[in-house]
Amino acid sequence: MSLLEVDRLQVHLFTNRGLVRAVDGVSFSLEAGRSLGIVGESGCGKTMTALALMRLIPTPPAQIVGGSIRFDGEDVVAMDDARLRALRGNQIAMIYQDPMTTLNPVFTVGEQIAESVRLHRHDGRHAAFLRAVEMLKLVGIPDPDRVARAYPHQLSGGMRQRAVIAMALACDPKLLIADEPTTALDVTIQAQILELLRRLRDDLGTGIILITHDLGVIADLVDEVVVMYAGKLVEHAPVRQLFAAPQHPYTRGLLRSVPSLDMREHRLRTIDGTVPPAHAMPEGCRFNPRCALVMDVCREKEPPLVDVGGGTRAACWALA
Amino acid sequence: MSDIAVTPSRQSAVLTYLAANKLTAMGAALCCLLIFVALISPWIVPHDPLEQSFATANEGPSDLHWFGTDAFGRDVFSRVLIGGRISLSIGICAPVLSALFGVWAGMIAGYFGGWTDRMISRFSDLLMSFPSLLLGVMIAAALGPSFQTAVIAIAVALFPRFVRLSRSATQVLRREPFVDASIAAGRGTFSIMLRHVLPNIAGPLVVALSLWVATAIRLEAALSFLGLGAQPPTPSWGNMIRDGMSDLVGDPWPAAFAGAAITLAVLAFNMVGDALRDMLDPELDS
Repeated sequence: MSLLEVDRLQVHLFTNRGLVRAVDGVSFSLEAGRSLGIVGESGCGKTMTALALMRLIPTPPAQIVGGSIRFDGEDVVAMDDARLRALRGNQIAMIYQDPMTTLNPVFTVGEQIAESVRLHRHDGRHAAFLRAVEMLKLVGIPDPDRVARAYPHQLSGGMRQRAVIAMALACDPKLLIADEPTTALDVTIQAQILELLRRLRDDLGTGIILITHDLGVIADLVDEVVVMYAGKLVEHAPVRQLFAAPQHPYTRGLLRSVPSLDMREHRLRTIDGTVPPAHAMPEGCRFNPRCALVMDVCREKEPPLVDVGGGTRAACWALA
Repeated sequence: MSDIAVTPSRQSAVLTYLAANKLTAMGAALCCLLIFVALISPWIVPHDPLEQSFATANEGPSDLHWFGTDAFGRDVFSRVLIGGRISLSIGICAPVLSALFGVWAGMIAGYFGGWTDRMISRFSDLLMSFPSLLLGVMIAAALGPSFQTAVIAIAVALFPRFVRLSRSATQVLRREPFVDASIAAGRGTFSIMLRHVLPNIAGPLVVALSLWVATAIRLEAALSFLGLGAQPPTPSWGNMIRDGMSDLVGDPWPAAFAGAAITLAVLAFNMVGDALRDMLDPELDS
């Protein structure tokens, strides 16, 4: 049994301008201690997918309308509030994009980590605080005793993100969901945080789902990649396979638009066109207006997700 | 890391601030003094504030009666001291009671939004649409005049202000990522309000509370003046002015000193409120 099994997940947004299928039939699974990346442009549904895993999507307007999410064999979609609270932060933890604002400014870092420990474990105040110091040490913060007594505004961005990670991992979750954990940080700090996540995954055996639009980040940290486009899963592949032999035209476009050091061209390559507006999706394959390989069938029917070998699944008529 | 500034403790920060702001220090000292005197007044009054003596009625200030005597020959100084007990305790109890309900109502409205918000907001708008004195008079008249009625009347009059304040502050906080993060950490709604919302809106609330204590003291005086607060012979600053009004030309002292006491108390709490606001306002931080 996998740690996490997502099957044909559908999240709809009920907006004033009509129905938006933010996540449309996405399936993937994750084994314990493995890591998975979800990539795509802004608005492709990757954050919605991640939030849905912990039932954190804002309802209304968003709602899980179909599919199932099984965590450790238990159906997350059917859980009641009490069970959800016991799951969140304890077995599945989340770290957000901006470490500047995910810490409460009026409490010290140590207090906040200790509080999240006490939420799920019946530790005393002192034991929880010691645990907080221990976690800060684990995430590589020098002088953790002192940092535990500091307020968030007294720490740098990198230190804060480390503290946020310490808080997320304080209850030994089986799964860590990281939504763009390095986007708000300096490049040098980004590398340190990624290195930290990799070390924690290896040392603690925590499963990681990493959400990002940065393919460089993906290559470094994850075992498998899910590529999303306009709410659809378009390609799911082992990370080496994805970089070596991308199958879906969208994935190829994404990889081509990553600038490299030995690049001959002077202009940055992009994918032509833009993501269609969420309430006016084209018929058939959602990528068809931007696709170079477009065929008649692409404008009529949605392509099925097919196994194309090498552990890769892709949804494209050119491959079917 | 060695570059983390050592935070001075809250207490010493407050003391430093007070040392630099003489006016604030005066206001704070005055508030403490007024409350202290009101607390110990039964043991320090020179005369029984209720003892009547027609032989000494309507006297001006003298060695024996520092603030003179009223129409019944009662010692005005003693009555001002004892009257402060009623005026200040209503002035403090009413806003605190109001805050207790109003802050929660506002947080619930601001946090949940939608229908909950609309119901709570409309109710508080309804209360807000009456001038607070009129509302106080209506409630005090309906429930019958007494100390408790005055507290309830003033608390109801202040309720919508606390609702508005905490509602709007909560709406801003609700969108803070640390609130989302703590939902993701498995915290329940009540616990989030208590842990994350309340401490973050405490600053403006404390400021409002101290300013509205001054408002409540004025309201209490007005209610007592209209005969709807503490009932004679129990003195309060408001009903002393009322009693003094009957012979303002012949014996102005009871009304004058009671009025001065009200002015002093309102001034003191306003000074503290303004100072707290400046202290907690990051934009005025120098």
